[in-house]
Amino acid sequence: MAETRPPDEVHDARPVVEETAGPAGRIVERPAGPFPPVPGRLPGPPQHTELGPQHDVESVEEVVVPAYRPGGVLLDAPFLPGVLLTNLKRLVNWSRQSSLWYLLFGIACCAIEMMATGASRYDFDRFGIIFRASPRQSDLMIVAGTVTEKLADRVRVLYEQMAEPRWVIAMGACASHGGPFHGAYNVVDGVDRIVPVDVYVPGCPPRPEALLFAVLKLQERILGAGVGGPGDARLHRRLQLGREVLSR
Amino acid sequence: MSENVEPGPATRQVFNAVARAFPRWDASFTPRGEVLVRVDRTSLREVCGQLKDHPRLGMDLCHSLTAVDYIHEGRFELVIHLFRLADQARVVVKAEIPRDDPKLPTVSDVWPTAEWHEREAFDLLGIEFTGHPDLRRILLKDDFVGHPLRKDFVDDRPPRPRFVREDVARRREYPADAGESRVPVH
Amino acid sequence: MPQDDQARRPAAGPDGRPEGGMARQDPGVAAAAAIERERRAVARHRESPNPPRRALAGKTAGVKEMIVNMGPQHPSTHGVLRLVLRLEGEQITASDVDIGYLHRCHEKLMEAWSYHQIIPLVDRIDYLAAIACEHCFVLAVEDLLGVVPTERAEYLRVIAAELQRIVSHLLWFGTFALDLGAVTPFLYAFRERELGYDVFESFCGARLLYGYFRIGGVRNDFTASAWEKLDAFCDAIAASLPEYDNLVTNNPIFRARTRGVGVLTREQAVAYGCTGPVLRATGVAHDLRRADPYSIYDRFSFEIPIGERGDVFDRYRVRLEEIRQSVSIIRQARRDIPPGDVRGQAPRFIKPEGEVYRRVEGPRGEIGCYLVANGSERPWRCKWRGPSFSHLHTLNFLPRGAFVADLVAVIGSLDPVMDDVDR
Repeated sequence: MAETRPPDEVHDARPVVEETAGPAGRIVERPAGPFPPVPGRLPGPPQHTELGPQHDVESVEEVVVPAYRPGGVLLDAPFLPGVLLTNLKRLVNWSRQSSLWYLLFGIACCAIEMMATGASRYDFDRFGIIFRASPRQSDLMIVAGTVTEKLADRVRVLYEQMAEPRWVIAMGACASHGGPFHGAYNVVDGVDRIVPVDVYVPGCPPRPEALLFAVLKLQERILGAGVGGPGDARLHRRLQLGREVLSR
Repeated sequence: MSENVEPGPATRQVFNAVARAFPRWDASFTPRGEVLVRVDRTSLREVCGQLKDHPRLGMDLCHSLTAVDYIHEGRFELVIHLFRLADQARVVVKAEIPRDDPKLPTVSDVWPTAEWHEREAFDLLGIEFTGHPDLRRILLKDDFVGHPLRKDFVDDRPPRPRFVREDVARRREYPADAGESRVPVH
Repeated sequence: MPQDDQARRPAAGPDGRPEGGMARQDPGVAAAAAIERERRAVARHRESPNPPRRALAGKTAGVKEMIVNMGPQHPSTHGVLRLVLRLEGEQITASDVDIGYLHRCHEKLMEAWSYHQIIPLVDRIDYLAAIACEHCFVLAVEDLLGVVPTERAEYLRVIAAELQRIVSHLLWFGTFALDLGAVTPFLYAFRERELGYDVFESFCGARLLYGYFRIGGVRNDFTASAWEKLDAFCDAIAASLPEYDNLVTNNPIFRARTRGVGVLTREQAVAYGCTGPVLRATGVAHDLRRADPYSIYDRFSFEIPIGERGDVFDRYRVRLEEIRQSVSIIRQARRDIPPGDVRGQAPRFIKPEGEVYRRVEGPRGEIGCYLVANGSERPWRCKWRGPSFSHLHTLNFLPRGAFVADLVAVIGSLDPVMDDVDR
């Protein structure tokens, strides 16, 4: 609610947009081809002409945080050897989105496709996404299946057991809106009647590609979110406490 | 419509054995080639016990036990589908249950698998099996009201509001629907 | 006979009347009553006459009993199964199965949907064996209508059903090994399973839930690329089965954890309505495809693998061998398939009348469909008999005397699909 939350850039943060260049602290889309020379670089070898596996690393200090995804996102623009400029918000978000651990909670048919996404061909692991059996260690809850009235309380409890910040993906038609079972006497019409949902994935069941796309969308969202924004209540409370202390 | 199916030799043998040993039973053939035994609910246990244990019958596999709500006739009908594992003889047992007094003796001591099927029939259709060792709801929550597979079942669950994250709601272009609660979720 | 009928009556209202069309109960009271009923149920199973596998005396002397909840969110319960366990140390003295967490009201929805619409609905009952469920329902409706599917459609149905059996067993193989702590077989199994998905995708467009069968036929014929992929899949499976044997079957740890665990006798299996691989592992050579042939299964030659002891290992062996037999059936059907129409001549608007009980041999066991039709466009009642429902019933006594880790192996070997249980 607006009165409990300071009006800062946190809540106006938007998902990553395509920006070819930006000021320091903004996300920069990596252009295709050789990396353009950055003005104001320190002279002398080594000359970094491109990033990627061919990049000739002379020493450990000169490793710039590499592109996370193909054509992907860099943390910051200037490439001084051994220097990385960013702000804490970006760094925290970047590390959060790079290691999403999801709760192993298959409910119905979609769970089979979730398993397929985690298995050999689609391989969730390459996005830093691995499953955890315990909600206490999970950041992401993929609701893969129909939530029934009998299960509803358990889903809520599991959600509350997860540490903040936490995200929810409603996978499939059932979790999104009841699907083919919409309106049946024992079916909850969508998991968003129990827990707030970040990303909805259509399909019955969605293909693994659709689930991967949803996870990428969520990662973009996490990267664009503010630290201390929605989904980060504890940090937010501390910040507020700090402001109160300072204002005295 | 379909033609009648000739009963197989094993099923015919069961019919003959029933006709010889229990001439008082109301036994016939269904159009699908099964032996149909219609019983009164007071004699259900006796008939089922004989079907299971009689040396010439021996229907050992209880495949399904359920009930059907014939609300326009004011009755339920219990339907048990039995098979004999050795030669796939097929028997259907049917018993009528008045709708205003849905009580029936249990057959879970004849076929142990009927225990869960009876619990399911109790849960979804509200048929009480007297003598059942553990008659409680099996599929639905304990505090569920009513029996949903009855034809007059009315679903009167209170509606659940939707949770929408504040930032999602603010960014959304279309108006929120009436059942939505804009509560802060954290 | 129940001594205290009052306590066992579920959800009795505050005035003592049985529930049904009356006011809702206080949730706190209901929860307390539910817990009490569960305790009672666990205690009852403890007194059940089935003997424990190992003697309890001496090993856990002086250990306090405790009641532990397992599930519904538990990685090895294959969905949302919940078990209430009574433990003495690590040993299980009694267990009670709590199902219904995935009760999606299939039977009620079937009463509101037309026959053609129900075909994709039954897909979702046993989502790992969608083709088998479709087959059962379509056979039941065809029985009522007197429609005979075309010859080529019958062959395509058999191919699809056997392909489904292989793919289902592959998933079971992977997750079962995962339950026992082996992660690699899961990845191997999914490597092959994805090839099976490709075949399904090439002839009906979906990966998991197909909607492929029609009343009187199937939706469409195989394309040339589908046949190619099918052949490649059969070859890949045949080649990888020895690999599975080397990886898992001959693994001494795997054998130690599965042999002699979860023993189900023949009498128990029949009494509790177990079918399919669980029954065959106890030594009963009962397979509907042979015992009561439906479709055109009497035209193929295949073997029925059976076990000897009825333990977890035997169930594993039976399922793995069934994959081989299914590959053989697919190859025979591929060889013999005649040309012709596949969609059949069934009318579009159907109003069958009468009642029928059909059963087919699914990957998990016998699927039964009791259909009561009253001459309208929708069924009056449809009771679905899932094999996993009966299999899970045995968990009320099977884990007695076993360790908690063995219970995971037992659940995995029964191969339950929770929506098949709860429907």
